[in-house]
Amino acid sequence: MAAPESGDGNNGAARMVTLISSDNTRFEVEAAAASLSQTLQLTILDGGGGGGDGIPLPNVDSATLSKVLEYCIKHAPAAANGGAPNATAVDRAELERFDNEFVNIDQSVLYSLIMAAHNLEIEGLQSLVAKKVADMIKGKSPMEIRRTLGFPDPTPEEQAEMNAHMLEYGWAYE
Amino acid sequence: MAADGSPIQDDASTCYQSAAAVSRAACYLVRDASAGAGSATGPGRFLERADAAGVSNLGGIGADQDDGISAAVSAVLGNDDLLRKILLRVGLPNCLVRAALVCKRWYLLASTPALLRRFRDLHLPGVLGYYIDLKLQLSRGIESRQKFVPMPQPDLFESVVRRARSHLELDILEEIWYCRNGCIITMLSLGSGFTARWPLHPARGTLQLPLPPEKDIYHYIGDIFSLGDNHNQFFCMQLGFHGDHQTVADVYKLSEDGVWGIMFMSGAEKWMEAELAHLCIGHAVYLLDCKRKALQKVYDMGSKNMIMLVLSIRIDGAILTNVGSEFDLG
Repeated sequence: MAAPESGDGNNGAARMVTLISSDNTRFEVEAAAASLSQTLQLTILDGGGGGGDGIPLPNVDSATLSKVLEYCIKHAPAAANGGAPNATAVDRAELERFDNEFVNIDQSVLYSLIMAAHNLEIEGLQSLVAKKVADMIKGKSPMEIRRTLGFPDPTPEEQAEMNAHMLEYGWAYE
Repeated sequence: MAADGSPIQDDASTCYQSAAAVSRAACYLVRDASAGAGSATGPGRFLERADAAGVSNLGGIGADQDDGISAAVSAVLGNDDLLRKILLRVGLPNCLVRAALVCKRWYLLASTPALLRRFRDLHLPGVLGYYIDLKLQLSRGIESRQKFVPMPQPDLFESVVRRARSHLELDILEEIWYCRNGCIITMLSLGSGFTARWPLHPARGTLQLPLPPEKDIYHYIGDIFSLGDNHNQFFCMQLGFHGDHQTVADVYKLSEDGVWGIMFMSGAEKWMEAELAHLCIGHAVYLLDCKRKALQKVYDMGSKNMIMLVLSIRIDGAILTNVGSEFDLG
């Protein structure tokens, strides 16, 4: 194992950190991958998460955390290159393919991911999952959006107001 | 920010067009070459498609009901930060309008100026169409008519044009002075005041704008334009001439009482018409003096956003580039 320097562990064997999910599952990942999380980055820079300690994440369950880490591991090399200005088109296309596949998941998993990405402050993942929900909203009427997201049926008053606004903003509905 | 969408015209005006196209947050700056500082009789003026500003005109709708939503969904959608991130990514403005009608909380979030500004940053509006100034030879003389020509719209905006069609047609003999951000400013005849209208929001009606104050030297209106989230703040640039080819430029802002107040007054210069233009960047107005290669801030609505600007000015064959958060070309 590399010396516990506070760098990003690029040289030699990568520095590893341990993350502990809310249900006490331990995940060992490269510090560089875990550092995609702004929340974790400082702790890791301070030398936390190494050895037997581990960083507890009481808000993230193991199923969600493994999904989050899947994203981080895939995106860490590009992020280490500073947004990958020298990434090839092939690399970028591969990441895009991965991202598309990655969010092709059940709504319940998606919402857990959104919360985790938010709590862990993983910028790229936050955008990716927000985009996925936005895509579910796109092209739908207010009623369809409500149904898609599981809102209760509107009250008659709400319905009347929605109808009135649909008349006024008809161009948005065609 | 993309600089496409701004057709490059002659060099005299390209200098400010390219700068603006790169840096304007809300819209493309697309206009005819002759309109820079003086005559407004170009062949075509472009009108932008509706942007998300329309959302802010919606009234409030029904109460929020979150009860039936599963815990995970309501945790996400109940978080303003997360909902904002989602709303920002719905893409087209009409999708944002629809989302705004889902419930009152969504509406309140979707209609905040900050979100709309951010939305416009992420999704640049395009050109809805343009006007052609048709000169008709009639028995009573030459008449000018403005014909609206929509751009080919592959997306949902076709319906925007279809619905606004009757409001977009200006078959009265109006001269178009300004046509951007969904706002058209016309003048019926020389010396009459201006009329502003928003064809995509006919309910806003029209607004009469007086002429800027008379000066005791020969003067004319160089330009009139709007700014602000709802494009309801009006500015006017007036050029005045002294006998010895000295030109002064004044920039006025229309107050809420409908009175032009002076914002900026230049010293006397030997300007050519094409050497002076206004530039709206974000929420600020600049005066571009091509002769001295200087850009002067005239007015700032106090936006906290830093303006990153890549300015390429082409003067006398030389290309001047400045990258920075503020201009200092002087």
